[in-house]
Amino acid sequence: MQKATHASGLGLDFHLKKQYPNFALDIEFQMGRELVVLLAPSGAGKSLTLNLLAGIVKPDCGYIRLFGEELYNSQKGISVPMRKRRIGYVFQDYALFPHKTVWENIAYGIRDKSKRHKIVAELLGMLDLTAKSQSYPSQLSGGQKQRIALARALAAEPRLLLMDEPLSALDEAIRERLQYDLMRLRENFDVPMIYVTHSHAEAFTLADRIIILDAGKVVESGAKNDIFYRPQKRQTAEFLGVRNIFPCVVKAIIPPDEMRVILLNAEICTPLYTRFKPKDKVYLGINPIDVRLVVSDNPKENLFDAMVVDILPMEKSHRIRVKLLYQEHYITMDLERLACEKWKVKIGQIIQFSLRKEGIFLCD
Amino acid sequence: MLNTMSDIKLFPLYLTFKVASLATILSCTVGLSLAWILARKQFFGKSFVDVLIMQPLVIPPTVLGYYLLVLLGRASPVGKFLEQAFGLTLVFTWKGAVIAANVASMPLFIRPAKAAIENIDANLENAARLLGKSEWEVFCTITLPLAKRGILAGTILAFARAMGDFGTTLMVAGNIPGKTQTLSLAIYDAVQADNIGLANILVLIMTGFSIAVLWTVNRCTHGRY
Repeated sequence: MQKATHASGLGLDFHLKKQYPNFALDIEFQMGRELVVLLAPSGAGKSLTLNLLAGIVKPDCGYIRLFGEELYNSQKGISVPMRKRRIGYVFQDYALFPHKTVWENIAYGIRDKSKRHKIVAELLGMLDLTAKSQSYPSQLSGGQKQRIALARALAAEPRLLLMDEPLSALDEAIRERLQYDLMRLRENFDVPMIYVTHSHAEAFTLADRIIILDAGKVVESGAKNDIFYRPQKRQTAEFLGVRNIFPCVVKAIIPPDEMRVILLNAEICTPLYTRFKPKDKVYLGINPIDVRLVVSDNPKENLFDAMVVDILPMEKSHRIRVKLLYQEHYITMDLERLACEKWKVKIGQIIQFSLRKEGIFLCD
Repeated sequence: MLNTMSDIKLFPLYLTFKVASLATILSCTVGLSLAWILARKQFFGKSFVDVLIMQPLVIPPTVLGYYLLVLLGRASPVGKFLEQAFGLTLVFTWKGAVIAANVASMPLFIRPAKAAIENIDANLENAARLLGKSEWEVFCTITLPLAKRGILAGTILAFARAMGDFGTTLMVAGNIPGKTQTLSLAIYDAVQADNIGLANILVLIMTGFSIAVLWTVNRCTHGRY
């Protein structure tokens, strides 16, 4: 498991296990004062992980350490009650108190009563909700409710903030607005944050680091760019929606920064991966955006001939599926709508494409 | 009519309100704790406890009264203990009528109160705990205000049932005029004595009260949230 190497040191460190008749969760992670996104499909154990950390669900065994303090340790018999953990939790369905006003909701968890007015006013101002301070939750829109839920969790000055799919029920424009808010709030509240989502886009926008979870186990964790552009496991690449993943064999390492692999009987030039050596069987992945139509003599490597079999018109680009000539392999590529029209790409046409070297990744 | 009016004794009316009020206070305290435990806690034998608590709704009042008589009578261990430790005799006293009315009416409090607590999203209470509140604070500031309509409806229903109890009270407290005779027992006595005028007036009082109760319950259970 990767250790947090941030200057601010270790904030949260946990290893938790929970067994149900049809599901088992076993998750271990360390993090600093950063925003970690727990990215996983439904039913993978994302919300359960947050509930175990918060103390809503009791783990079977394991430990939770927050800034060195043990919140839970099954061996030592330690289990700090929820109210003493000082963990902020933003629930998926907001969980705002319906009988309290916006002001009362935010002020509810503030321990120092003399600071209540100042803290609530600051948060309401930051989230542009001052005018709503005397409204009841039932009088607010979904986006406003979510911002209040976030403000309420932060007002109590938590040492750890957990967010369970906070934007999933909102439409896109409001989601974007809340992402701006969240990024702004992070500048003022420097605490470890765990953000649960199944949305790749949200994960990419918000995360410092990402944990990919599947069936209760960590598949892979790492920095955002590594996970999205250089995943180490095929399962991660598939979960992130990489369309083109093929088995291949490492042929040679070409110093200082290249490798050659054999893919579909062709020799492909890829970036260097020091963990692989010649004859290793690996998977090569490439996103459709990095598969380029060849219309000039420019690209000299990673070239293939193929026939267009499907064209899926999309908003900004067309997704094109091509079949390699003389082989039963298909590759998906994205071509800008204007380029598609300019080169008159149509089904049945024979084209040449190249795999952009920088867009290629190799994984186990 | 004048004769009938002079027949009305205020004692049964006073005793009925006193007994029903005390029985309802008992229901609210003991019953609310039971409703919260049944709604929020998991324990072995929970469904059995649930069935046991609801029994007074289905078993005949005389049978319930008999059980109480056996349990609280002066010869029973509980009765002996109460008498020796606190000098408290329950059977054939107005205090016994309170216990009888309480046991008979408590399920009517527990049912709506339990349902109201169960209907509260558990995450609201969890959110309050995570914001640093103790179980008691969570109960007072979240559970109680959100379940107040169900609790109020239960309180009124239990009070009405306690006011109208006949069989159980008769078994435990008897029908002693000026001592344990409640309004329901007074109506029975009036009919037995062929004093139909008095019976009609007492029946009208009870009917008016029942209508007022149902109207109030309906008002309570239609809420804003």
